[in-house]
Amino acid sequence: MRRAAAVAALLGASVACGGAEEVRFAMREVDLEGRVVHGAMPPEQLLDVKGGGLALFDADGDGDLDLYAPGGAPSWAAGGAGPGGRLWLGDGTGALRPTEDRLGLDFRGRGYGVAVADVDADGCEDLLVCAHGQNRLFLGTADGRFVDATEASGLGEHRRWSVAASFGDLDGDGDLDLYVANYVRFDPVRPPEGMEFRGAEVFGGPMGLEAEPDEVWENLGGGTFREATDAWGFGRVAASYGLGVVIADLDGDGSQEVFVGNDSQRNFLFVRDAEGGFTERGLASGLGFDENGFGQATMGIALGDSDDDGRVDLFTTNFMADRNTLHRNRGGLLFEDRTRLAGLGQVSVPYLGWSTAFVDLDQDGREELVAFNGHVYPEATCVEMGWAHRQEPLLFTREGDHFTRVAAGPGLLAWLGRPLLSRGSAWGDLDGDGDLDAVHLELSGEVHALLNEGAHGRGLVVRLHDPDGPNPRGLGACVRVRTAVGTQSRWLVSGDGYASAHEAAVHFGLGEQEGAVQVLVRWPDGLEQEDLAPAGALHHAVTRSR
Amino acid sequence: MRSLQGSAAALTLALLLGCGGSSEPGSAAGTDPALALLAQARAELVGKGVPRESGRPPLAAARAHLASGREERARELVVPDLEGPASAEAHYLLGVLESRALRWGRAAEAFERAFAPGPGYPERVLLPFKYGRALEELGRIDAARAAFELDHELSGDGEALFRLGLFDLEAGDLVSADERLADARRRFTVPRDVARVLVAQADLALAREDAAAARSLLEEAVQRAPQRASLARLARLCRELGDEESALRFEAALERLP
Repeated sequence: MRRAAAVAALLGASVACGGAEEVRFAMREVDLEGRVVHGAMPPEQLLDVKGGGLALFDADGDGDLDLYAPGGAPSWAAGGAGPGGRLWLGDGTGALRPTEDRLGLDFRGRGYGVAVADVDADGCEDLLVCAHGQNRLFLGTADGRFVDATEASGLGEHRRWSVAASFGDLDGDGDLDLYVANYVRFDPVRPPEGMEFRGAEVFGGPMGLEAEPDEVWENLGGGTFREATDAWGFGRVAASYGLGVVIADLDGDGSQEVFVGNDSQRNFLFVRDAEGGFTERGLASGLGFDENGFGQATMGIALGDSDDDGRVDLFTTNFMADRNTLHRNRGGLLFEDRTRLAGLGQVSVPYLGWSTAFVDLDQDGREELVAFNGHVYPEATCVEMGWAHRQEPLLFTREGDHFTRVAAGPGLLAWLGRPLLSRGSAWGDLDGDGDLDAVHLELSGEVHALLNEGAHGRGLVVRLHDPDGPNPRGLGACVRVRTAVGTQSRWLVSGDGYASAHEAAVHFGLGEQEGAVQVLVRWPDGLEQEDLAPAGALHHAVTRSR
Repeated sequence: MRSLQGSAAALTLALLLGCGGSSEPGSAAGTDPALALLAQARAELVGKGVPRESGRPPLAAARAHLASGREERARELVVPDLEGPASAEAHYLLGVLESRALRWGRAAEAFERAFAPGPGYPERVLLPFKYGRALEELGRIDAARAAFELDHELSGDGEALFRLGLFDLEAGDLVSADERLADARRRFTVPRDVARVLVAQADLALAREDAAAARSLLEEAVQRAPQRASLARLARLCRELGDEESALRFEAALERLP
């Protein structure tokens, strides 16, 4: 069966549908106008290679998805001045056009990650830019613009190197607190000495550099925060090279955990204890190390149910010469590294992975797994090191609990063979047709949209709505649908991917099911709610019951 | 002459390869040309003897430097012979040097040239395995599998069997994995190697949801040679089985290892 699935995946990924041949996983590539700068190109130092993320959200309040990417200066030696972040406005058809009017998102520092949430619960999305230097919080306003609330919010206190952040309700009071993953202490004017890597002279770091401690912020309401790193127990761990963070309820008990991906060091899992503080349980949970007991260089984080058992599994992308890792959830906050048995190990060794996601591209009810790749060292040529600098994305289709790589092909499958210096990606329904599209960007390069033209069944995009609550989009919720082929589970979280923000919605592939669909929501506080998406609906909003 | 032309054609194909991470030739987009090279090599290697020692004194000296960890000195002796009549042998040694430096792209290229016809050399029988390791690191799995199968045919090597068993595990072919890992375990004698196989067999047991068997295999692996791979798995498994005391003990042992 697996071999048959593998052969099918390898032979052009096509499927007969209604007598016509449709190509599964077909994505129409659109190179967006405008580039994002993340430092010098070719990279000269560590600061130049970690950018960056992007966010798909409704920036101007007109009901469709827009795109924001924080950027930086072309040269760090120039003092950090540069073009800064860029904004593209969508029109709901899949088109994204750059705008010089940044709607108040006036960030021109050294930006890396971005996180989106309605932190002040006013119905408008807010945006946090993670930066080398001061992080910046922009609060959305009812007129479709943003105000810089960095100082007033309290979030501007530190000057560190932040790469990624996640919003979630950590203290159980309903509103959205914040975890910021910080990387290393780095002075671009006095960067570390270069080093030798597999015979090539490359820039120095991160090994040997002092780690920056992560930050945790308690939401006080009204767009203001108070640092709670130590008060909540997060400060008890040694500072590590944080590159990714997700706040999610991993065991379904109604309280949120925090998974932190660290570069070249053990990952963290923070678990809330009975007193309301957090204890680090990376080693005990199995998430700290890979199966061989080694810390990895975790970059990207994807959440999904990779074996249909209803539990959320974690997939991480890592450095080259290492494998990406599938941490399968065994319940009780215990995770097992099933990478090899899932067929995801050896195939990923040559790749340096960044953004990753579980996505049901063909809408058959089983999520595929995508990882975008690209090296950090320009010297990583095939002959010198054996790996390419630009690397194509990896797409895996799943049969049972086993994954098989999908090969590139001509035409609309060419995206799988396009070598890029990928970093962040964000997924959402850009053109309103109910399936998943993507935007992804290259390090100091182009931004690409991938419009899904390979979905052959019905899709359903579910948004959560809690208009009177402090978490209006339901971040941290688990959403399930029951269909003829089984139950599918999705987790609406912040911070997954790499330093990016997906559309604040979850997507299900319903195959040929046209009728009404039962939707079950477990809100972040544990409240269970059932709802019904009407027959034929492609989008459905679940409003929290009182 | 026909054979020479065949080898040259295969070699040319192989040298046209990309590398892992970009247009990976092992992917389904096309057949890895290394497969043709290995098929040709099989015809030339199976059933053939190899000389006991090098006919080139500088290369014999290079081996001595390699054995002593003096890679740069070895390289100095190898490089002049890369274009000479003993170029295949020199490229083999260059491949070993590049493998040690983890420059797998250069290593694969050197090993491909080491398949070229010409005077034999002592390690020619080892070439498929060395080449397979480079291919494996480059993510060219189909070709690596073919190289390990050839190595096993030539040498009956347990390491090749072990790696083929791991490939089977990854491909979901548990029956073949079972056979190959058991065979590899019989061939290994060094405790550390046996422990590696036991860990893989534990993974196989876990794939079959047999946690008790997996625990037993991992405990045997730890007894033979404590390694991070076995301790990490054992700690996790004991915790899942509700044996927290053992889990903590194995975690502590894991933390003590470098």
